Amino acid sequence: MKHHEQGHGGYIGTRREFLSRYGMGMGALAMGGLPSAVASGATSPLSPKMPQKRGKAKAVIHLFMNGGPSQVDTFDPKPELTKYDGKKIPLELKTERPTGMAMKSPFSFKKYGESGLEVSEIFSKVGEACADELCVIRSMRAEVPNHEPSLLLMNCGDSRLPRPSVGSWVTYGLGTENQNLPGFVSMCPGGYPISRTQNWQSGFLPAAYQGNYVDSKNKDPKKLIEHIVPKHLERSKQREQLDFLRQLNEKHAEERGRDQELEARLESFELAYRMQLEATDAFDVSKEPKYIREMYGDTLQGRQMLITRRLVERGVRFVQVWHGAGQPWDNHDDLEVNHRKLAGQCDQAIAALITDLKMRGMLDETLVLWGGEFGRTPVVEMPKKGTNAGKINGRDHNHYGFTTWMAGGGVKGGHVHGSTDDFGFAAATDKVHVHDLHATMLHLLGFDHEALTYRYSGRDFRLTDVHGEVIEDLLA
Amino acid sequence: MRKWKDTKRASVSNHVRFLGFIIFLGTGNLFGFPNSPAPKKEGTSKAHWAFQHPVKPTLEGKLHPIDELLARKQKEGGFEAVGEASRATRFRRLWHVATGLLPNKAERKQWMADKRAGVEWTKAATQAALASKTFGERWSRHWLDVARYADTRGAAVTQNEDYPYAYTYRDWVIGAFNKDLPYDRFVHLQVAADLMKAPLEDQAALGFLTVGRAYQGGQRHLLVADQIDVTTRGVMGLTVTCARCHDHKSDPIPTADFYSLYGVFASASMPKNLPKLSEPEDSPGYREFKEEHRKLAMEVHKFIKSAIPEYETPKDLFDFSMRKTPHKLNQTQRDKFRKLSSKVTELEAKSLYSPDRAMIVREGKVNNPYIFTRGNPGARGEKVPRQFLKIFREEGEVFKNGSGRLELAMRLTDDRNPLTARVWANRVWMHVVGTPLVDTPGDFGVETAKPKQLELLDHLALFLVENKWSTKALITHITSSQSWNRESKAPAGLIERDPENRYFARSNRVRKDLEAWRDSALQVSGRLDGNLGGKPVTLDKAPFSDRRTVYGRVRRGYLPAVMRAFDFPGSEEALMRRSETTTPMQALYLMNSPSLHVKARSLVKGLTVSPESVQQIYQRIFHRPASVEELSATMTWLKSAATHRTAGAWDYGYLTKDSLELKSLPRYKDGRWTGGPEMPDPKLGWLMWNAAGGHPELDKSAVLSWKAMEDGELTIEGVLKVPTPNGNGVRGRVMRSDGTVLGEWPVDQGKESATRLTGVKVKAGEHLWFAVDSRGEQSHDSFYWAPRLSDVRGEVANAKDEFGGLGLKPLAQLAQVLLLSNEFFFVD
Repeated sequence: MKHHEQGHGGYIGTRREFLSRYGMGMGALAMGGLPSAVASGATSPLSPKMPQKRGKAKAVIHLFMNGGPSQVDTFDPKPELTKYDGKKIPLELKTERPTGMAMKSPFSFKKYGESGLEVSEIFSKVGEACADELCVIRSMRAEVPNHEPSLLLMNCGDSRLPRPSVGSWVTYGLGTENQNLPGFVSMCPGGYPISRTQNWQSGFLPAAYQGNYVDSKNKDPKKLIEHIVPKHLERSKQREQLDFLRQLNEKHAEERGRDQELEARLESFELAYRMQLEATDAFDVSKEPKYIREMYGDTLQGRQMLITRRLVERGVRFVQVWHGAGQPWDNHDDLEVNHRKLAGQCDQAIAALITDLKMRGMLDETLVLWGGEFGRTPVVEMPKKGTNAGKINGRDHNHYGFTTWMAGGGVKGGHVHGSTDDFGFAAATDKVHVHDLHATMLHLLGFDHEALTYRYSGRDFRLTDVHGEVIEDLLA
Repeated sequence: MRKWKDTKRASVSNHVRFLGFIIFLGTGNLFGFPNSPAPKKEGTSKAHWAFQHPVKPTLEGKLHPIDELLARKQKEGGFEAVGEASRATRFRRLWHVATGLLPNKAERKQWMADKRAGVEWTKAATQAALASKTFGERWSRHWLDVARYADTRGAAVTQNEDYPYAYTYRDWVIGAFNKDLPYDRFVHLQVAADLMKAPLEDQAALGFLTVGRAYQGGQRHLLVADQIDVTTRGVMGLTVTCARCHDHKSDPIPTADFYSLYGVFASASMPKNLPKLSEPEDSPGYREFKEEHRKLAMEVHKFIKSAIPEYETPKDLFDFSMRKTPHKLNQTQRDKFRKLSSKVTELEAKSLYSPDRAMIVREGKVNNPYIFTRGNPGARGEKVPRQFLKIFREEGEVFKNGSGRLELAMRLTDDRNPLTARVWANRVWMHVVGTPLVDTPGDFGVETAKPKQLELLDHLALFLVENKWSTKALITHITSSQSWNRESKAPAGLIERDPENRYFARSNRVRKDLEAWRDSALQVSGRLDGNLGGKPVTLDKAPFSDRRTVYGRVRRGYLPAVMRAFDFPGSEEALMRRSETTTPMQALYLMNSPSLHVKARSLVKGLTVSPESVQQIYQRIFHRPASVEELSATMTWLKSAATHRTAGAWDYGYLTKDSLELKSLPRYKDGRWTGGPEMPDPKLGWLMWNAAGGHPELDKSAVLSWKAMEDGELTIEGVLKVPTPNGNGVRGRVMRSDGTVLGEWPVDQGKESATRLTGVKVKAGEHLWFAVDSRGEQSHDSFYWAPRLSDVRGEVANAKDEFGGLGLKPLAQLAQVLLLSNEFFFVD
């Protein structure tokens, strides 16, 4: 099945119907000479849609450890690496920066759960609480050892060209369950990750599918989204004001043959209006009982994970949770100290999120993805002026092999897929390219990744371009 | 072979990191790694279209060259161009392109009545628009995106954050556009003004090299890499890294080129002491500044002296370079030193009297560059001469004079280099027409496919050079084509077949960027401050500046939310083309930001609700009258739009003794409600409410009134406090509007009391009053009381957070609607 082709034509019905869903104030809208609102069978670009076939997952949470967490220090234990510590490994791969001898993981690993999944001490809470839910892919690979292209590859399926992000594709394919909240939210505390808004861009898809950035560092729910509280008008009066605006914009668009950009902007006001109430509530973690708040922890990560659950619970389709601004996991120096610190910040919160989703019966329908844009080298990074502090205790970028894991949403729990070589450098067996990961995610959401397409400039585009294979072994 | 490849790849990858660029270009095959898509090869890269000299297209000459070239392609594609847009449309389009503003009243009067027609009219009007000083304010910003302009050093730097004199570069760019400085000279001055014996005022051009991100100690090479990037990508549309992606030995730009340029830029640096562009006139303000400046500097030296006894205060008081001393300071001392010295910079940045200075560079010891080889990052590899890029270099040509920066500057625009003119022509076209001819205005490298309209691009590039690199001439050349004057509305079939408008058979409908929208909104509201140049202003905090957006302070890495929401560049690196997003965040800002309400209020000042006023408002904002239908619909809405006096559920008033009739405080200004402009007010005395509390009168209690929006059971919390130890305190009560008292708390002077009530049932529409009286003695009765109301779900109302002024009156609401409408936001 082709998803609806989106020339300018496709949008017209969409918009008309949209009007009819905002019945309020319509009486006052009757303006002679302007097009009247006609309810047709079409739907808003964001209204919920059925996937091609029934998928297990209905929502996605992407926990983005930006900067690149080290696989051999988290979910891919390598005893062989320990043996070679300080020695040259019999494996030579080009790295982005100069690298040297093997560096063993400073952390110990332990088996957790019935599955006996091995998890590093720095993620012990995740291990304890949800090892049997995790589907760990140890054989991930990307294309280059640079942050920007790798972020784009992981988020948009192409490291070079401005393509729509996974969240945009999913929202395009499925719409969203709650019209009063954005369908796709990207949270990052304290600023943007590198490559900024490109990470959640809608590319050639309509702007309605773009991720909505929220600075989750703010504690006050009203401050999480700037200007969320109208201070100049009562709500009912603001509704009337916006109805009048819509009326003007309708006439303007009608006279201009329904330009898609005009439509998108028209819709953005409706979304903003509704967000004012619903978003404040969704972001207000103080409305959670104390034991839940304690479970997540009163920390930045705890709060943003709890907000994530509240958003997904309210029908938000795709939530991206970034660890922090910039690239916090990019530990070229002091890996032990920094990885311990970073994992310490989110371990409890992630464990709580998965436990909580499970407790509420939401995990089956929510696909959680954990990982970075790539991993890190098992060999130590050598000093290089200007690029590291020369401490010889960190790891360089590694796109040859790294680990991500998924949970819920129809994946096998307590499962390990694929492996890296003995040292954890490159994917060795059952390799999974980022395109394959995307194909599998779409499959879990009910889409054939080759058929979820969008017609643009004379060609059918898709998230996986001409690549990607669904990895059956990951499916429950 | 293999060996060669390995070393090349390694050094490429190192330098990628080393350069610290955001790499969108060619990364897929940058390293020739497996699994990356193969590059599109167009023979050898030397044959790449952009490396060929522009070819003068053959023209019949019956039409404007642009029209003729476009018509050819349109014919090939089977497209028929649409007709000419109305004069009013072209007028707004033209002013938007040239000035980022709307035509003002006098301009409208002149140009709407002008006798000329069609493109003749456009040509004449273009020349008039380009002669306005507002042209430079608009076009400077296009270049400042490229120049990664910011008023601060960058996110990593927390102290001494300011570039106190970056604005002199910005103002130089504005001036350069206004006087139509030939583009080649514009480039030369920015790269090498110091070596050109250029007049002092032109030294500010060197900000191009110095306003980029600063890197802390020992990372100077990153700064040099940034200079190479902004120069090669910014001027030539060429990334050194990108051009080096290719696996062939015949790469047009080898690794060595980067180091050749490295040597050029690394030979110069920004001196500690920047030259004054002018000596301010003597004034008490200036004298005060000098004194304060000196005092702050002395404090730094005094501190160092106290830490290091042998320290000698330098002759130049403002030399904190601390060439030898910093390593003698310990961490705490160093922090203190930074703190003290940043106060000096802060004063320079903030004081209106600090003299303008140019952010120049000076030549130092000439750098003889080496290539670094993989494996020995610190070690030097092959030595390379300072010279221009290999692909455009003549055999054996090396830079001879000093660092060669002046030669480089000249080389950027000489006729052996086909890129610079094309790159600038493409960007000018993009800003004038709305979309570029080459989609990647910062990358003309081998990865970039030959544009559909290459002949047109070549024509524009050659036109630019032939017309002495005059940007204004090129703009006029474009706007006086029939093609530029077409309607943006087009038959559905045309749009469907050419959604991206590659054939230019119609005009682009353009959404105003942040600057154009904000500036024109200021303009129609009568608030626009037309002064040219000067120190940066804060845009996002009240009292909101009325200066043009180009003068807003750009804090690298910490853009205000409004700038971020509206796609303003982050200034981390050169940006040639902004992204354009549509988000509810933009809508929230437009709906709820007080900065917009200020503009709306100004716009309707003195008007009362009437059809005439409505017409005036339409005229001011849209430059057209409201249609009969619009007028009647607007009037219908305005009648129902009458707002509650305040914006929300809270009201601020008083009760007289033995009465239950709540009266409102009439005046709101600067965050407080009072009886009138004077305090005490002749009638209402000291009565007052602000966000935190208020003041009662002897015979009148100050009352905060809250209206319930829905039925519920509430908990009320808060602390009533009388801060001063004088007087006799106050009494606070929570009441219903029928006089029922729900709680009462006498609070003595200097004391406080928690005002907690639970289980307070309210019905929708019912009021709760928070009344404070003066216990018979009104002096020293200022109090704090900002109650919070909550139910089981959480907070329902909060007097402090929700404190607000007057609601927006209907006409101001109308003005706001028009300012954020698509008609105002888009240019047809």
